[in-house]
Amino acid sequence: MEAPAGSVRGLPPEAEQEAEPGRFGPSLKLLAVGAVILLSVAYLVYINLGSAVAYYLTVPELLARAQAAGGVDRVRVAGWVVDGTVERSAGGGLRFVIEEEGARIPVVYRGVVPDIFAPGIQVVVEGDFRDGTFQAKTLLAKCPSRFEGGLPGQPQQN
Amino acid sequence: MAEFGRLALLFALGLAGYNLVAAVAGRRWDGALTSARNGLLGVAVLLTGAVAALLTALLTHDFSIRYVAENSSLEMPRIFVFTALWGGQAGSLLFWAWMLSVLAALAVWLHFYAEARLIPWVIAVLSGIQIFFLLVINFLTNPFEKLPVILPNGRGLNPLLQDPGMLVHPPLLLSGYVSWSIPFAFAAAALITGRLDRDWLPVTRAWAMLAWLIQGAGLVAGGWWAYHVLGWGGYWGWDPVENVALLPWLVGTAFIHSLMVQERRGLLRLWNFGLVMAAFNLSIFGTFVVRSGVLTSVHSFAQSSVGPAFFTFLGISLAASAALILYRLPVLRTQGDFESLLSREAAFLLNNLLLVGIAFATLWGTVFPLLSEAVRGEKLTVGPPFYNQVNGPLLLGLLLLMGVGPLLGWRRTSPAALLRDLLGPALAGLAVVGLLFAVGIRLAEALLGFWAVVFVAGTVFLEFYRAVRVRRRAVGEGVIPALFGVIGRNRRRYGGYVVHLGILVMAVGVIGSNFFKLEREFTVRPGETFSLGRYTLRFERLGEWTDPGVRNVGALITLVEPFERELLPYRKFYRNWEQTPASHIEIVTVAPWLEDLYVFLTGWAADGSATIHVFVNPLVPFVWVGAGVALLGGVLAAWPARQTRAVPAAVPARGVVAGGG
Repeated sequence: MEAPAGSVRGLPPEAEQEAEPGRFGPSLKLLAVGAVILLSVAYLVYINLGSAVAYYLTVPELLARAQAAGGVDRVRVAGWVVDGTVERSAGGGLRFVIEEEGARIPVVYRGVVPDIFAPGIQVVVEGDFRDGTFQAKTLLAKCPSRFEGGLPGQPQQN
Repeated sequence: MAEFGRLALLFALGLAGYNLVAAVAGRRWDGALTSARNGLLGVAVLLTGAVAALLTALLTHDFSIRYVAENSSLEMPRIFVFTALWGGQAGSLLFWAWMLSVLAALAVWLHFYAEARLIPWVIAVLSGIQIFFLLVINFLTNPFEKLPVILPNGRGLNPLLQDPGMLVHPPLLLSGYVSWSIPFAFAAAALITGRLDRDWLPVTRAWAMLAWLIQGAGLVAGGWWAYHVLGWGGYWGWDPVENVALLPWLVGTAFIHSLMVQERRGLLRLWNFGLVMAAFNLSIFGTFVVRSGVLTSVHSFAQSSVGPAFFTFLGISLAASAALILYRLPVLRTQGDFESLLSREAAFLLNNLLLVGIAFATLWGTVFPLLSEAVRGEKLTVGPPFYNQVNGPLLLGLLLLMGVGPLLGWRRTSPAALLRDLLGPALAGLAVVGLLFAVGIRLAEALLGFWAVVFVAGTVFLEFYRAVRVRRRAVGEGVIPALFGVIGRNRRRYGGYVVHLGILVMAVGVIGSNFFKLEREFTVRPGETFSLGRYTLRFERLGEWTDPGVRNVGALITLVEPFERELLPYRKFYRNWEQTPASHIEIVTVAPWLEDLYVFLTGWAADGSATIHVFVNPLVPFVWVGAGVALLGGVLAAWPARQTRAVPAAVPARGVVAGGG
């Protein structure tokens, strides 16, 4: 686009100009479309970050925050499933207690239970903490993609 | 064996160091360059020896080696003892380094004379990467580390990894990560030497296609494996480890499109270098994330010993990539300009922006816990809804461009001709949407998705139809021979369209399983029936049996409606891994409705009742079929051309109309 764009309009129409209607050069238009795409990406990321975010807290942090605010919504907490606390109800519901750094909270959950869920493993629960009980919407066992662990004979976590 | 492997790794490190120096010296001195090339081969031989040593140690159950004791056991089936080679950290990094050494030796051997100006720096860059991996393997996580005592038996591989998928998915994905090193090395060499025009493109394209194919196959294999063993009824969960494997592939996809713009029009040179650099750095980032546990672990930054090393290397590699591009920035500035928005190069640019946008959004979501902790002091995370809502619209845009792009000519296209071409496919899409609406599908997102799929399929069909018609007139062939002739004459272009068709078939599966999935968990007593959708099942009883080293618990279930079938989903409790049972999931692909009935045993109680999770996953088979078609198309497009010798003789000049992609 070396030619100055302003001089084109007064000239008699030439055959080549029909492919380039309008005042703006193709680079500028491309830039505009590209900017729209990039802004859409940024916008989509921005609005969805607001709606899908969960706080990642430790159990003691959650308890402290709940004490201050009454309850905490949309929160994600990790902890160890305490031995002897897992109860399954007939309807498929699951209750258990998780513990971290000495603090414990009860968890209620209905839904897909991960393969490796068992007392003693570390889980991440996501949901709302109200009235002293954690209503979990999702339950994740800590990802087993780190395959290393103790050797046989060494004590496991529980 | 351990001693041999240990020595081989040390020698490989020393040799890689020598190769780096010799290659740089080889810019002026041919003897040194030849020696560096041979040295690269030597590293490959040494690492092959090390891999062979580790395999021998695994297969002979040498439990004096920590890696063998931690990742295999006497009662594991031989095939999984073999796969334990890449089952643990040290082994998978050794596999990485070994693949790199083999690919590096191959690439340098193949292009030694043709790319003589680039080769010294290609060797130097590849040797630099090798040195890093060999340092890590030798000094941080050595697969040949000895235990103080010899154990009578090993711990065995994680049961989730004792699956046929283990044969395919990890080696493909690791090789995919590794393969981006070769395009990176050529791009870096081009930047260092300043030979920035089109020399580096054909070689880089060939290796980028290879990396794209391998990593694509690895991703699909991973999805297939997850679907068949993990029991959550899906094939893609936007887990951080999945995301980081997708990133280099997305950026690589952008590159194999945008490089055509540089070939044809000389545009986007800076952008192309950036993409290759990004793909490689994302590969290193992916390996770092998988190996360091930085994103799956809740509180600690890097528990594993290799995390900081990888982070350092990533920093060096990023800095070097940026420095190289900045160094050549004045020369890299574009020489031409876009002439019209309605041109193929413009469509490629927009496709690139969307692909990079998807990669960016995915990266942002993946590292968001780290970013938010750094900025606000608390970890915030995003889940699958974030990725679906952000990437869904972007993928739709990409799909639409896939339809419009091929109809656009280079430089400019007349809007009237374009509209004429688009009308048919758009109407075909509307007809299908009307049909779907008539059978009761009302979900707008799904209808829009299906419309886009039919629309794009229509435009791809148009492309094939025209080329076949031209060829039939010119050569006088039947439809099928003409079709093969068209593809064979311009495999790159029509192979690309086959990839697009495969993606469309996959999209049908993704739309179906994403929007129309049914799932429910049932807790039932023996004899009880339960139903989901059109399926009715009866739980008969629990059963228990043992295999060597494994205790199995299963639920015998009869599928009653719409046809009779015995199902036995069960769980496998491996010795030493009682806490983490593996699963056998019953997946019945029901042909008439193109859907999967997916039955997973969640748990059971002492009173003989069982908890069973049932999914109905519509159109999932399309995902696998589409992936197969896409990979086939990729092979077609990537297969090296036979130097165009036979082509001019076989096709008369008029046939050229069909070519030129």
